[in-house]
Amino acid sequence: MAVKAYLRPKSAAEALALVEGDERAALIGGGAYLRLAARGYETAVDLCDAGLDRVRVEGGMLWIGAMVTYRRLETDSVVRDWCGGLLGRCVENIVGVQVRNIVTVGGTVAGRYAFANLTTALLALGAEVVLERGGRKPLEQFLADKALVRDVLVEVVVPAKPQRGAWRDLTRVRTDFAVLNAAAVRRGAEWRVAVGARPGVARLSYGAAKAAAAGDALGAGAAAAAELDFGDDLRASAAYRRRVCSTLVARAVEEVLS
Amino acid sequence: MNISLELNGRHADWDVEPGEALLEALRRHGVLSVKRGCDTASCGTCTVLLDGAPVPSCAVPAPRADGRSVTTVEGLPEETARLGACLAAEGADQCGFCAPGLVVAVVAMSRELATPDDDAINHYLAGNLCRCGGYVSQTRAIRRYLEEAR
Repeated sequence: MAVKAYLRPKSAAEALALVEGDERAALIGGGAYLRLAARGYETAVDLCDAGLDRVRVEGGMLWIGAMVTYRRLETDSVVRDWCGGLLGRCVENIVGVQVRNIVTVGGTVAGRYAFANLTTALLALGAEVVLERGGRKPLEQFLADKALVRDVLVEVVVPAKPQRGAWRDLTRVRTDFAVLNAAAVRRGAEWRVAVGARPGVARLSYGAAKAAAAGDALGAGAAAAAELDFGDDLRASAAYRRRVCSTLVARAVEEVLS
Repeated sequence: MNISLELNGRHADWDVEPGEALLEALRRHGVLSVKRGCDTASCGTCTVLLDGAPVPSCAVPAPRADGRSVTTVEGLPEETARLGACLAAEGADQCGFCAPGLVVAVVAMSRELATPDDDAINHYLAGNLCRCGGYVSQTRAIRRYLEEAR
């Protein structure tokens, strides 16, 4: 990566001041994809010293710092207990331990990576994001916002513990990106069903949630397949993904119902 | 830019490029055990310990190592000799290109997991590729290394 200056600010506010209004500056979260970045930057602003690597429970919610790594989602007992293991399960097969020790929650979410398992799980969990300038907003709204305003993602907030959550994905090789992924979460009467790697970024299926609430797992799968859009890429065709979607969603909902 | 780090237990002051990967900085400073494999954080060949955690050094910016400790097989002489002997005994040494990264990852695993079974070993080491196809013999060698260490 061609970079002229490398900075490690001590806070999110300091990081924001460095990148705001400067298109030649780039924020560095985990850094896993830096090697693949074609463009160079004048300034790299690394968040590793910005104090964003904390996990805490406050106000009945789980607050996950943007620099918390995937490996920590797998191993941290607070995260594991809060989400019924959902966050750990969705990342545990991504490449290897080495990569999961550098890839961060904030880098994934802020990057809006369409292939990311984590984004699908967080969407199903009803997560919100906290931005240094933009404040707190639902993850669904953040993902849908096409205006990429320069900001620093500080934390991801997972609301009250779900009763149950289930994760399903299909990969060609275990450690590869998913052909398709799905998560289902139930809190009391409220259901949330998310599907990602379609290959677009994760989206909620409200039809699937409605069918799941009625106890109809197969109907939830059919609703998600009908409601969401799918596309072709080197891993699978849109038609194949639609078929896989109905099965993965039905299985995830069935697991939560059982 | 200047960075200070602890490399294999010894203080080091390096001049690195702002966009340089830790892998490149290590090799430029003579730490040639750290191999360049895929260069996309996929193969595990360039694995080093950063503050004790295994990371792909090709995907870690060198300036991020400032103020931190970096460990390669040169800093793990006893473990490297013992695991190397197990790899040789089980016919898992093959070409050896992936071995330094594998050794570092196995040492990290042995510190993190008390008694990993084969599934846990294979899961932990899924990020270490071996193009000689030595996975079965590697697993045997790692099991032998862990048993001897107990």
